Amino acid sequence: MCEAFNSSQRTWDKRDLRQDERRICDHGAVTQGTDNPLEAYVRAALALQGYRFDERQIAEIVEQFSRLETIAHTVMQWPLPFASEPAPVFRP
Amino acid sequence: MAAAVCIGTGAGVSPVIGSAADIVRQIGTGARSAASVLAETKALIHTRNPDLNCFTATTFERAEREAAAIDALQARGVPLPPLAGVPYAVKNLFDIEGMVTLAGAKVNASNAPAAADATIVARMQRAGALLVGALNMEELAYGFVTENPHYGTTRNPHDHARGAGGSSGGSAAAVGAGMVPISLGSDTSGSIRVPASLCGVFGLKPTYGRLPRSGTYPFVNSFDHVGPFGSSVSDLALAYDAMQGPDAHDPACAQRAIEPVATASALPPGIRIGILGGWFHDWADPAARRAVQLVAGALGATDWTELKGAEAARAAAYIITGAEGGALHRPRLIKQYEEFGPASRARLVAGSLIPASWVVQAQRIRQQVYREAIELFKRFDLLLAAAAPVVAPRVGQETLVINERSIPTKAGLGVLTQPISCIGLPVCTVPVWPGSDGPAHEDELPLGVQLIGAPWREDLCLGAARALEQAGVAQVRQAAG
Repeated sequence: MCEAFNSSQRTWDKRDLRQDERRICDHGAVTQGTDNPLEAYVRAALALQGYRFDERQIAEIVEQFSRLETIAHTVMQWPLPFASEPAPVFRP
Repeated sequence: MAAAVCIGTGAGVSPVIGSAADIVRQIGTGARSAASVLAETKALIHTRNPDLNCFTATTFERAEREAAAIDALQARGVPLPPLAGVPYAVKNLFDIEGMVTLAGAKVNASNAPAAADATIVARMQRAGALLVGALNMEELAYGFVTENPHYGTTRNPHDHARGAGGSSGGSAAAVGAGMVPISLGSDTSGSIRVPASLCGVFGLKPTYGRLPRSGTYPFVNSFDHVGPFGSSVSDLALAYDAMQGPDAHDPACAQRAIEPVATASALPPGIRIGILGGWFHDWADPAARRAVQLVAGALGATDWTELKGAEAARAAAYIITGAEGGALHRPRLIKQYEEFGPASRARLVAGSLIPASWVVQAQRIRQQVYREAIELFKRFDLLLAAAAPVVAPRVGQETLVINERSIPTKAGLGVLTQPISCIGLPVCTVPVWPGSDGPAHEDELPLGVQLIGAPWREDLCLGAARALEQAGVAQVRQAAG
């Protein structure tokens, strides 16, 4: 059993990346096994971001992410000029 | 003590505190005192709030101090400030000195009290207004219904079985019920315009960056706006003018001088008005379409046009909202997931997992649709669209059916407002009474119409609203109950 994730220890060196990989295993996220790529993504992303949820909670989040993914289809398929820039949000 | 006045129409009208413009005039002439206006306001809140659940806290002691200061100025013959003695209340995401800023969330209840007022609350105080309380809202401003799991549901003043809309539901219902003539709210995706529409009051979402957000609880920095609700166009304009001006503490706040609108004349002649079709027609039910037609007819608008990127802008707003809102709350979602409301927590976590490519693409769409809108404003000065797709749904109603398409109520009520706030345009929402070809009980429910201007043209939005008010097409009807 891997040790639990401690976000306060997080620094992005090779050792921590290995810890993240172990943490994902601990969560049962990717080892849970699912044929649904969306659910697999959610489980992996939850683990990567430091969440720890039970199956009921994960099911709630998968349902909500599914709604977002449906709407994201419109966003990702909308034709844009190659060089179009994002809306400005930073004002130095 | 003077009696509360009736400004509604027809039988069964209840007393209300009166319009801000009337209060200012009466205090100025000595016909009423600020203390008496405050006493009447407190009585109305005590009577009406239990049925509606608009207020989460009152600030009467502070209001008494503010009223005493106004009455002292009046006694000395000193010129009074523009909102002298006008009672108002604010959505509970505005900082009020000495109070905890809840933003509708239990997870905020143990936070330290605010050290100072939000910038626009301080400006309202300088303008002489009396702060009487904090108002209910959707948890963390995420949704359009104000069925708050921690602080209760805010009900519609025109039908208590229906909702007030959200997320600024308490702000709209408090004005709609005549408890205060002015309230403040925020609008990220429609949270001023949707509840204004459902509660039948005027609402102003200014241009993104016009009013400072400093001292307000954030939700989505890319879209967060603040603005007033009012019982008349004059009330909106008075509050808006009092709150304008640059503020270095809000990096999104434009460094623009105050552009007053309260004394502006009616709509300039020759104004070109377009009626938004496409997305805005498809997602408006028959009552919403009638409301738009009533406004178009009164303004002489006959030209239809289209914002082709509206669907994409709405989708982009949805993605950016999820990503920014989720990222904002992620640290506490990790530790306190179950303390968030059941309708918010999973959505917020899901938002925090959104891949960067979706967000970047959404921000590119935002810029492209903004440019499309600017092109439209070369042909038109104002654009019209319904502010909500339907009249107020019943409390607890989970699904809306709009032209035979189903959509979840909590998100679907914003389907016509999200594309506009996504690109930051100013909008005045005016209350229209379109009648119904449905059940008889829906005949008396209001529905708002958005008067959408080019960036920084709040003056035109309010000018058109004033014209509609004078024509009797847009009006606040005080609730009978």
